Amino acid sequence: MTDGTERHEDRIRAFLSQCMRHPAPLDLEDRVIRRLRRRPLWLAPFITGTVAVVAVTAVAVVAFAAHTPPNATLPPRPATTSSPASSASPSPAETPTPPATATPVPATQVPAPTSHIALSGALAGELTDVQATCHLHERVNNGHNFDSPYVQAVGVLNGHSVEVDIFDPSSFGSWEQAAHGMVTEFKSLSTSILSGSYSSWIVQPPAGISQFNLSAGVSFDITVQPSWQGSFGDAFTPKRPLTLTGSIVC
Amino acid sequence: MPSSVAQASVRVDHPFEPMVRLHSRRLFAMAYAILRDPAEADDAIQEVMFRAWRAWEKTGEHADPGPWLTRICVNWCLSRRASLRIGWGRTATLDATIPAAHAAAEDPQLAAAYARLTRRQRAVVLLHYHLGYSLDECAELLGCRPGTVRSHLGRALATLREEMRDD
Repeated sequence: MTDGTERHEDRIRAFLSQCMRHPAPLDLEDRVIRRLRRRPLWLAPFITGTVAVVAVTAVAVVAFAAHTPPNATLPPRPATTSSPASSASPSPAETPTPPATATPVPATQVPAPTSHIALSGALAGELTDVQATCHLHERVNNGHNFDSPYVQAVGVLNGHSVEVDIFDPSSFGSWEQAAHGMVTEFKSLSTSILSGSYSSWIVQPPAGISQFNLSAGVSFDITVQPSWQGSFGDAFTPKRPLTLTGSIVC
Repeated sequence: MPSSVAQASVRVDHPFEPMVRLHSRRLFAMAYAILRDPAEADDAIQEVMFRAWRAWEKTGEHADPGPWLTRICVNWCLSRRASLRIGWGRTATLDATIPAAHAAAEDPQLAAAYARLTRRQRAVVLLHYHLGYSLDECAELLGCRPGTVRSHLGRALATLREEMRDD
């Protein structure tokens, strides 16, 4: 091997080292994990094929059109500006908004608003141990770069973790389903992608989502339709829609 | 069925999630070196991890998932067609979280020549010169004959040396 060849190869190696140091997006891992959670596994064999993706998308659009929720024309829920004063309060969804003429309460005495989510239908009850996360984005840089902001709450219902994602109504929604509301029930206390089987419900039109604020949270009164099932463990298919009422507060 | 709300704070992560956090950036760099486009590299990682996730369920935990992920990543980058655009006409701002101005740090002459290589040639150069794979190992990883790898490498080097001829 000549000196010139060695010098060339050293230069190639140095160049490749520079290439490999290209910085990745700061939120790369988080987005990977979030998107894995959302991807319906039954679509998996088709997702990577161009023709199949187009075909599946067309089928999905027809299917979703047929499943247009009956409440698609529901007016947005009035803005909820208050939260329960104590744990003994009734369901947050029924908590009346103080009249505008009410005597102002000093800020120091007003408890900080908290997230509360009540479910009825396929799942019934109020989520406990709700943890809200704002400033989330579903980003895809696949040709038509796209960015849908959303907020998320994870809570517990009957010993199962339930994840609620509400997308900005003015955005496209989720990447795969164009959904603006998604509920996933994990059959365990973990929301890990492989923690066990899960079932999901989605709502496609953004009706019923109000006061979306990527920094502060969102209020909602929506009916979400049965969607896909996870294939891990004892997967089951949700049969009935569920109604989701409450707010996510960050 | 567990019913104790007291267990709510116990959220156990599956080993796959730490694997995503451990390998995503390395795979991103590799995908970028082959695809030469940060947005495409970003998409590649999403797909690579999805494929790995599906396979993980069938094969179980790998003792050393690094080479396995490398294989999936390289082959995904090579099979991905540049014309594949799964969009529905949406427009939005490009993810601004990718720090800029990296390209300027690269050897500009070599970068121009490297950009003219085919993806398969880039992959062979990367695997052989940077990751230290032998030509036989490259052939196994890429699913082709060692002679084919030699051919790709020879053509790639010829292109790169054109730019380095004046050194």
